[in-house]
Amino acid sequence: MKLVVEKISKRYRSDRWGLREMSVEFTTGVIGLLGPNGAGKSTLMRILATVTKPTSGRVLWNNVDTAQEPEALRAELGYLPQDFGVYPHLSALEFLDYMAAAKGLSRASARKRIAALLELLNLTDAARRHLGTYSGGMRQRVGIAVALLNDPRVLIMDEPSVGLDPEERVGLRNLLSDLSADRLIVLSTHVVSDIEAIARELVIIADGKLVLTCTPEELLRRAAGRVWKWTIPIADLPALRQRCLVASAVRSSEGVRIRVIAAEQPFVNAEVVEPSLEDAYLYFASAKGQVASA
Amino acid sequence: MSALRVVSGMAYADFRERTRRTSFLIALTLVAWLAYAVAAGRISLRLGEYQGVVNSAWLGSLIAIVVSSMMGWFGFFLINNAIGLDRSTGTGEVIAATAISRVQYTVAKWLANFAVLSLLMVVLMLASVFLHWRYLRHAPMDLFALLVPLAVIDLPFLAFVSACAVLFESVRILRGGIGNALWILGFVVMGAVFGKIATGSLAALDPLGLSLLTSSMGAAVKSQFPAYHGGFALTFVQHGELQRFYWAGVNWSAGILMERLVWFVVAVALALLAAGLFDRFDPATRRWRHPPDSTKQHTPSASTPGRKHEHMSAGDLPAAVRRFSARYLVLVELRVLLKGARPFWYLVALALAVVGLFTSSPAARGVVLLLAWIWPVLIWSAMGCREAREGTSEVAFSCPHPLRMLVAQWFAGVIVAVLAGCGVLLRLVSLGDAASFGTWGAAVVFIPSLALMLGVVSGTSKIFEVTYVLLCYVGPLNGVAALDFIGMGSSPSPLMWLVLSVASVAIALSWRWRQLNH
Repeated sequence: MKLVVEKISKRYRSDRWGLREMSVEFTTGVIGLLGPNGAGKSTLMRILATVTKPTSGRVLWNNVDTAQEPEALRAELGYLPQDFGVYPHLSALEFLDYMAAAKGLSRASARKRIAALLELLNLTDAARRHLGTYSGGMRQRVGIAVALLNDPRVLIMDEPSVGLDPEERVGLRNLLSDLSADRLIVLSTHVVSDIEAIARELVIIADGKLVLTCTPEELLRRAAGRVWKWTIPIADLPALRQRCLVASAVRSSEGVRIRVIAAEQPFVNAEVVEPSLEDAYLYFASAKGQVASA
Repeated sequence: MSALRVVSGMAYADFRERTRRTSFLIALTLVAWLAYAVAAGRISLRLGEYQGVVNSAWLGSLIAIVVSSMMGWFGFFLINNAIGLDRSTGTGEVIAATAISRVQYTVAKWLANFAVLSLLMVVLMLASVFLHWRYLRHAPMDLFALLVPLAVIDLPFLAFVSACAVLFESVRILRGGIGNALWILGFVVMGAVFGKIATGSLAALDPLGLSLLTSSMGAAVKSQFPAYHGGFALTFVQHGELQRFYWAGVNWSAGILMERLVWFVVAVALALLAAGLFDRFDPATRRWRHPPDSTKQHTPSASTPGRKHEHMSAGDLPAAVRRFSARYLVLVELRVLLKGARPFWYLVALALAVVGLFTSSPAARGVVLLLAWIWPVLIWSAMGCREAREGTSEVAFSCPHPLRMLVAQWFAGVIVAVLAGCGVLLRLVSLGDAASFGTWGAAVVFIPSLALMLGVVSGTSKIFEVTYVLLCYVGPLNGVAALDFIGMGSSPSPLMWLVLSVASVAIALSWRWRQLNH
């Protein structure tokens, strides 16, 4: 099971490039796609999901060009776009039934699978309510159910945790972790903690170009010894932000406990700490000039 | 910030937003083409067997009539999404949280609408001067006679249309297809009433200003050709050589100007009425609400302990068996099409089917069939464009066979047409009327084909709603044989409608294929 991206570029009508000469290979497991806004993450996701075609280059699914034969991938694909829409007059049950028919499932199989997915995503009680009455988080869960309807081998999810509350995010992470054993999951997100525990590989892009592919461990190693914490008076925080990349600042009775990313010890009291994946990403992005300030 | 600044700031921002859209460019092109068509003699105005000598007054008035007729429907649809855009983009709720009042908001939207249409008028005025110079070299140019009809006839009407658009957007039931259909019908009736030469108090009630021009022209013909007995028609076809009469234009008196200025006052009143009806983007007034209590009741809230999805496991999911079924796909498409309709809609559709079954007169049967097939216009208008409207395109296009979905959608549309017209069909079968049955069958195929094609190509339901209602009015109802797709009183030609159906479906499929391969 292999999804290979070969030198793909995407140019929009406005002559703006969404992607340029990107090559990357995806295999089984969760692949976390990271990058700043406008980096080209959603463009890449749409190309992988066969919703749009690259201007040049190709995407191969098990050696089959997805632009020439999109059905080969589509039959195995579950896709959750960033802006997921629903038909507001339909209930979740009816909408999933519609999508099951569109995905070519047998009716009997669809019924069983829909019931199980609604249960899995905690939507059973609301299954017969019109989708127009759903909250953002509930709609997002319907989107996740749509993506999983056909038991896909390839799952492409663009910002799947948007609208989910903290508990639902944990649930989603566990679900994706379960699924990743024998599936290829490409997950685009801004929330690094969403992929920290489950991603086998990270793909970082910026300005439509591939910047880095590595394991989370490798990214963490790069940031080792470069994350510092100490406490400062509240009044000193604005000045510090001018000088350093402040990853977090938590108020306490003694002042503000700050976490700073810097190559060298920024302050005499600062002590080095283990980086989180978010710290590591921020360090990498700042080193590459992608992040001006936290 | 002063109220004036709030209103002007909002109107200006809205104006800039909408004049940067493709639809505005299309409107601009259409307006320029219409002016050219008038100046080049492709569109002409005849009063019975007579036609005016082409001079500045005649040209300016003719352009004014053509443009007001066009702005009445195209202009309305160009601008009637000022509030809708704020609603769909979520900007509305942000605006609702500011200090802006309802009156300021609707007046600003009215001004923005009016500014958009007025810009078209300014371009048209410049084009008129150019066209006069280009095509009427023999006639001296009288700028006053050329431009005043455009200003006095069209600008008040545009103010009125702009306010109506805001009003329609402020009333929930008029926001969608029902409002579009009502506007078209109202406009067509308005044109039919005031297109006749009307004078006196009736003329003052004419926002189009048609009666003002036609009564003045009529008086000129009558004085030069006493045999003239009325009649007024805009035509694309030249009917041989008509006798020419001289018309120097309307005598623009203060009374006439006041009469026209009243439409600005009416427009302001409508904008204020819209303010009273405007919901200020309150989600509680939407058909789909998110009442916090009911949501919590149905969905375990974040604070509910022991939520099931904390222990989500994919291991217990049953296998997904793939076996494509066309019947299954058509059935779900039919459900999606019909799901939004309310019980009242089904009752009326059923009543029309029953009446069709028991109507014996062919003419009456035609009217019933026409009504039965106008009633589902909002069902069909969602075809081909609901993916774009509801944001499901990406998911739908990533399914294994997206074109199959479109074909299934077409079948579902045909089923709706069959069910809506089944009363008349059963009657025709009982009468053994094979010729009418053929026409019925062609219409059943043609209507959803047209809807699918216009929906896919335009990405909006408006185009089909407008085109179809106009087609019903002009063809079957007014007996224009070439457009009578149900064959109500003219000789039907089912083959032509079947050919058009095939062409429409082919265009829809190729357009969707293009969307899939962009």
